[in-house]
Amino acid sequence: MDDRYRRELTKLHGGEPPADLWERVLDGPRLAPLGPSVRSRVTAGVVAFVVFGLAATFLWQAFRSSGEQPAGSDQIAVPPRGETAEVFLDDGRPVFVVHHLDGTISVVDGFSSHRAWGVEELNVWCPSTRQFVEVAHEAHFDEYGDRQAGPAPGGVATFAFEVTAEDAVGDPASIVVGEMQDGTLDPHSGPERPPFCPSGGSGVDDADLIAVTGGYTGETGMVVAHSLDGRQVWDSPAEAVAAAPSGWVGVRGTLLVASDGFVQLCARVVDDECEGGVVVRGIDGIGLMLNVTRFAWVSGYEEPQVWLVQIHDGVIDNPAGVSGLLGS
Amino acid sequence: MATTGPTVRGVGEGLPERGALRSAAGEHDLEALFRSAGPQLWRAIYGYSGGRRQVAEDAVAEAFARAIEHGDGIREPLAWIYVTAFRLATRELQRERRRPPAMPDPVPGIDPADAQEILAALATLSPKQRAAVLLHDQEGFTSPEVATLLGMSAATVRVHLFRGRKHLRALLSPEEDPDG
Repeated sequence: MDDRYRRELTKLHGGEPPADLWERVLDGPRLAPLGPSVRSRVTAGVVAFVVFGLAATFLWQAFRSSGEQPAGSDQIAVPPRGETAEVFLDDGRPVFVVHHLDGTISVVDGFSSHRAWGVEELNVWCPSTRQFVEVAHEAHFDEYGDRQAGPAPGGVATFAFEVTAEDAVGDPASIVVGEMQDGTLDPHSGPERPPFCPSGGSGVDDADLIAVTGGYTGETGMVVAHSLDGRQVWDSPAEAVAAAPSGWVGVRGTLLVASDGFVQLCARVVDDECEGGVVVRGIDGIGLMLNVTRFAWVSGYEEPQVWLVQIHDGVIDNPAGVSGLLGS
Repeated sequence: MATTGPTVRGVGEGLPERGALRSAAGEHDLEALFRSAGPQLWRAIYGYSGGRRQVAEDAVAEAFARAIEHGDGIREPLAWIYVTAFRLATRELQRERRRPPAMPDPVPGIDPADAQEILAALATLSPKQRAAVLLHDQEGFTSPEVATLLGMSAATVRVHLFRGRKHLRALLSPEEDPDG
């Protein structure tokens, strides 16, 4: 029997890897280590259960003295001392890993604590002032996430972490990120906003900074920011919702706030009509409209760009605009 | 016999280095193993990933690099490399969180337009079904060999093969014979 699928498979027979693949092998491992396999996890789980049962008292004492362990599973390389790296956790959430000048580490949320009308706002890292700045409204936070100036109710959330490897001088080389910790809320409304990422102030050479083209780059034009791979961004909200991916994902769309405050993310808006729209939760549409219409009369609020969103129960939650931060 | 240049094989022909499946510690010549088995593994991962060239290259290079790093600590190098490469590819595909590409990446020896249909059909299988079909029906390994290479029992491989083939047959209905 000559199955067609077997004939189709023969179309893959001629494929050849690149001639220099062995040279890449000799360069050594480059990808992050694999976690344990399912079989290993099951075996390890059984062994751990037995061991735990036999030594419950001892372990209880040990746990009580060492405090809570981070629950996350993200293994992240720590940047060199003094530098900050933008990374995405396994669920797609953007965070910054700050290696402070004293050698300690902070994992700071990529989202600002300032959420105007419920819209998530992304922070960028300004190396010249060692500050996080919310790109939309320029709330400023220090390298530990504490609020310094601008419109924000308090500090940025941080994450617990556990150091899993150290470098030759004893600095953390990799960490596992755990639970989110609340940002510090303070009633202080703050002074006026300082200049956004000005030159000088830290002695960091421009050549050491990462330039982001387009979007929010401050006065120096050099900030550290998250970038999305455009190839991994959903082309329409409806497609993304149908696939129901977990965690944070990028979606192209136009945020449409109708005059009655109803909020949708649309594939496109034609004559004020939302095409391919998905309901958005968590945004104060009325508040947003009132603010916008203070400056200009409009029948609705439209914002076409790429959004970092979560999808739950067929609707979009917590959209954060990332226009200008797309990777090439 | 080891193959080092581009080859076009029929199903089940010219399998390289079968003995490497059982090679003992101390006789690893990983470069020779790469020359003989690397292209086959690369093809399997290319098909497994829906025609993503970068995933195939990364997974194969990384698996061999890690095997070198482990040295003689690996008892069955080829099986270890296969399992590692498929796990790396699976992780990369999970990270992408998106549908297969509309067109496979072009690579020497494969016409993307020609291979598009089978790669799209393979992408609808479960990862284990896909791996089993590619290694058995494309690369010509036996069920026990596939079991060794994927770290599962031969009976499980046969189940994955049965289900995978059934699904592919349903998707790729027989063509009319132009000669009648």
